[in-house]
Amino acid sequence: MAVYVVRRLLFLVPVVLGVLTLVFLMRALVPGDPIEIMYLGQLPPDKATVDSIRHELGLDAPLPVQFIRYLGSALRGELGRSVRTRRLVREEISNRYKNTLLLAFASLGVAVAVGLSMGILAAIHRDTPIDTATMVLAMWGLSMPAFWFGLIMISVFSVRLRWLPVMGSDSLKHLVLPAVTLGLIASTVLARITRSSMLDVLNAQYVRTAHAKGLTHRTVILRHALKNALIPVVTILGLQMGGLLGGAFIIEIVFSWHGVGELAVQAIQQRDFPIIQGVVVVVAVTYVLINLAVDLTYSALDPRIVYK
Amino acid sequence: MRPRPSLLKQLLRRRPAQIGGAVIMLLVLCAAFAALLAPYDPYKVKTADRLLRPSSHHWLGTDDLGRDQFSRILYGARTTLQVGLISVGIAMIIGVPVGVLSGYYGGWADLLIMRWIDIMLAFPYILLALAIVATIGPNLRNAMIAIGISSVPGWVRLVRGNVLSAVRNDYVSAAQALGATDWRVMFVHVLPNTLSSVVVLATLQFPTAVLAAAALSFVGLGAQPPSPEWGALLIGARDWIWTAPWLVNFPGVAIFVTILGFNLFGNALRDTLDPTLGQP
Amino acid sequence: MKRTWLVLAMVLMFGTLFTSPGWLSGQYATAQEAQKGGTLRLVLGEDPDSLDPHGTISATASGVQGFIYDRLVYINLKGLPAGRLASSWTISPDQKVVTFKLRTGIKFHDGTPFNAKAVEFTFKRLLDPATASPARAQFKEVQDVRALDDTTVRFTLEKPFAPFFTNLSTSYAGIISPTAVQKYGKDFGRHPVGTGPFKFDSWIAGSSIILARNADYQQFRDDVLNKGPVHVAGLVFKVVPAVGTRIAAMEAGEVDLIPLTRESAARFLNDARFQVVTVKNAQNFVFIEFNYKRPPFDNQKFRAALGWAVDKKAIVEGAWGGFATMNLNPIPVGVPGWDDKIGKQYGIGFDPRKAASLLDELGWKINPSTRIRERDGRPAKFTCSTYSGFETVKRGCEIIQANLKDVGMDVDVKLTDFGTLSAEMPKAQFDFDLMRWTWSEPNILSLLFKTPGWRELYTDSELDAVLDRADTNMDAKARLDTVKQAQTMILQKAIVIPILTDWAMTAAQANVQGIHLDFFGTIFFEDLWLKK
Repeated sequence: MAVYVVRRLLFLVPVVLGVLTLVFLMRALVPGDPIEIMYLGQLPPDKATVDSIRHELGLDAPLPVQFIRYLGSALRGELGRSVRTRRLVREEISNRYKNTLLLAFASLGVAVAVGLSMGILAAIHRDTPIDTATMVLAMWGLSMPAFWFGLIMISVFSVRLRWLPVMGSDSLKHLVLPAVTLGLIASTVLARITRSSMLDVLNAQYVRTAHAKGLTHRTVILRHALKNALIPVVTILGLQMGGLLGGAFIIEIVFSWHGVGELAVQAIQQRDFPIIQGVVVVVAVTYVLINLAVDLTYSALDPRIVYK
Repeated sequence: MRPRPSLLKQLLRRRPAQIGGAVIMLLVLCAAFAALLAPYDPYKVKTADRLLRPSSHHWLGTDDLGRDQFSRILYGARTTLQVGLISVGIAMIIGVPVGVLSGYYGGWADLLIMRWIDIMLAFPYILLALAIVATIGPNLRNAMIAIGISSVPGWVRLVRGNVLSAVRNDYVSAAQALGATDWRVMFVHVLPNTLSSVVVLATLQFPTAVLAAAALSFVGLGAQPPSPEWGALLIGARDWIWTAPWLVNFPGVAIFVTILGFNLFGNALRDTLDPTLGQP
Repeated sequence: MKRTWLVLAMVLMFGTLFTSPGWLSGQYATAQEAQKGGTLRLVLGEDPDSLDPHGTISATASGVQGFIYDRLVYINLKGLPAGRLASSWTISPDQKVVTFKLRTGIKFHDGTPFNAKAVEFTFKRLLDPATASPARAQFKEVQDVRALDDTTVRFTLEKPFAPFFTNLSTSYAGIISPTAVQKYGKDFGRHPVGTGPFKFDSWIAGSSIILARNADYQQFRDDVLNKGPVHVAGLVFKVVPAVGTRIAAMEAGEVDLIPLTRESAARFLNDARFQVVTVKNAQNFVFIEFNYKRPPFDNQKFRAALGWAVDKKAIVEGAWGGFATMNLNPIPVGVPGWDDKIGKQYGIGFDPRKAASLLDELGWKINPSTRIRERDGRPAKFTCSTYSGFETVKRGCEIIQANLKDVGMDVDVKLTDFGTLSAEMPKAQFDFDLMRWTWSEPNILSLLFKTPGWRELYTDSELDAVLDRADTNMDAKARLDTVKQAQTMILQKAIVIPILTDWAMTAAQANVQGIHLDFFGTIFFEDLWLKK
């Protein structure tokens, strides 16, 4: 088990190397110079100034040299400095990363609560109007463009009803709307998976046995069926987490929830490569760790799964 | 391997498949006959008619340049259909062969490919697409390429998994024993076994591609004006949500209905082709 | 330009010139006694990169810096420089030495005294190549800055430089606390210390900035009514990039002031819950510029023909929703030297027939089968580029595209994100583009058109000579005559096709009181108060 975990953690090394190579490749190919972009349309600073900023940030070295240097400092846990603010990438990212994680976990919470209950409900009431209704709802969420859904949420809950703030990332109250928006969208996939997984399990021999032993329906569902039905659900959760970490930028922008997605989009537009590298590395590492956690959860759910 | 008629019948007996199929048909018809159906020229700028509410003259209102939105949405069906089909096509053309090779040969190549896929999966999908479009230049064609390439990892994973289970079949070992070449085994015996999941994934990836195109438009890297691609319409009108909501809501509904159609159809298809998954 | 766009988008309240009579500064009078306290909530379009005036020239950052740092001079309601931290100054006969007398008894927010040494320190740091300040280019004519005694500072210029005082009044020239710079070093931009009406309180990266009232503040501007510390307790800037979100936040009462766009203006204009400040004499202008190195755009007649085909009114109405003024002069409406007569006489208006006949003359004939013009077998197929992310310029390009189709040109619109555009333009990989610039000094003409042009594609020694004269003439009135001459020349050569100046509009909650504007149309925050 411990060996397995260590091996999975070691996999982080090629992942980080891989994504960094991708970003450096991008950097070699994407047109646009970050310093020029920064000052475009302003009174342009003289060339000497631009060169000295470039030198200060180490951007004047050949790309392979920058790559090696970057790897060296990354090993020491240092991700470089942002071109735009000239601050440490770590300082720029940390607060936003916290926001993104918070939003991702909160949305996941909403998704699990809504998705699981919808899925179970549909499975238990299979082929009844309840089943149809839940699955139609699930389709609904799956087909909604996120940004449109977000705007509708704002117009109803913030502008009309004034229950919740429109924007900001200051408090938990600000978290509610973006988390519910993202969570509802994510919940729809979960609901479908839960339903079909539950149906498989409900047909299984041991559930029938449990019924035969005279256990109540409720106990059977919650204690025996659900636990086993959760395995594919957990897989999907791990995958969705990837989407929530880096792909929620539209929701972040719509709700002014200042996370790494918003930062990354801004950084791509401004060609602020150290920031892009930082975001991508942090997201990739989180993604790998979460998927490790998912796999470990399997063995907790199903003792037959043993990692070696 | 074409679905046997009975499968088609089975499929069409499902209500979701009927609804989804109808939506897809409608979309195809709109795309094909936009020029005949559209009451106005979708590109004609007429500032005197700007921002008209939906009325009997302009069923879905006009945009800020006075263009008839109904006509634009009809024409946009074509572009939107293209975006979905071509992006999915690109992903498929790359993803399926790589998945087959990786699954069939296994060994080092497989290991390398799968590690690479893991890395790609750890790289945020939309950031990858953004980076690709920024590199090769923003227009609809490049957006489709970017969306296609970014979704390759999912395809490789799926196809490889299918191939892995298919090669265990007796008829594959039999074919190998009879001296069939690897290529023949792969494409005649193994590939058809993955077809049903490929078809299903394609239907389900279509909506993702359309939404991704909208996401690219959000940062200005999607369809170029005056293209009435729906994602671009929806995102381009986002600031009008409070003053001319019809500009946002109709493209939103169009996208929603289309995606709903593909999802309904795709799921029904999956349930028909793979009855082991829970019935709808 | 995007950045200059940001001026409108983010500098929000720091508006621009005024026209509607109610906001005329001179006429403003306090009807009610200002109430103290309350926090004004504002929005920013992006997180500023730095609050060190020598660390950035972004419009967003400069807007916030304006509250923290006072400058030596300000531009009064007549458009002339007047003393702020400086009480007076003298200019040497050769117009190359300016000696400022400073006010006394002023303290920085950290308690250290403001004096000539601090001024010398500020400008030495700004000009030091090691600082690598992007704002240095604005003061490159300054050869030397010296504190002669505690209250006297002498600036020595390389040559007479007309924009000197306006540049001194910008927030790039804010006076910084030498002690704080020594204390924080590179991090000064995150711990800014000046003498301004607000002092820095806190900054959550990417999210918000809080400024607090400077209780010791003394106001020396004549155009501000409140001579003491500001009425409000502080300012909160929230980073809100999405326009739709800002509108919703305004509706929900989460912010007090937002800049308006064409999409949102209609919603706030006729609503008693809000006030709208409209500044029509703004300092931006939108124009078509060309790749002068790529035929046929090297030909001024061709450029003019293209210009005559473009319906400027339709762009004002359609792309800017009517919230703009058609402007045929190659200079923003709100910049001194703008003169309606020049545009009327030499401007390139809308006359598709004239465009067609010019194109015929140049040998671009319509091919009856394609309905597209051709010359020597080359079809008139071009690309109109602009930057992505802004609906106004995108719509503008769509109208230009439709207009040019009417005269037989086939135009593709290419929206490029800012980074790619910046890489393509110097390499001359474009045909023509729709641009927007903001600058409040007449030397915007030099910035744009003086050889090699802001995109390094245009060379014109005749125009350079006129622009040089304008930039070195310290006599304001005589200078403006030269500025007008330059505009005429630019129009005659059809270097750019000017289209419009858009309005700077700001919506405020009804309880925000005391709104009036300075020469540039900026709201005086010193006089704002919140009605309880």
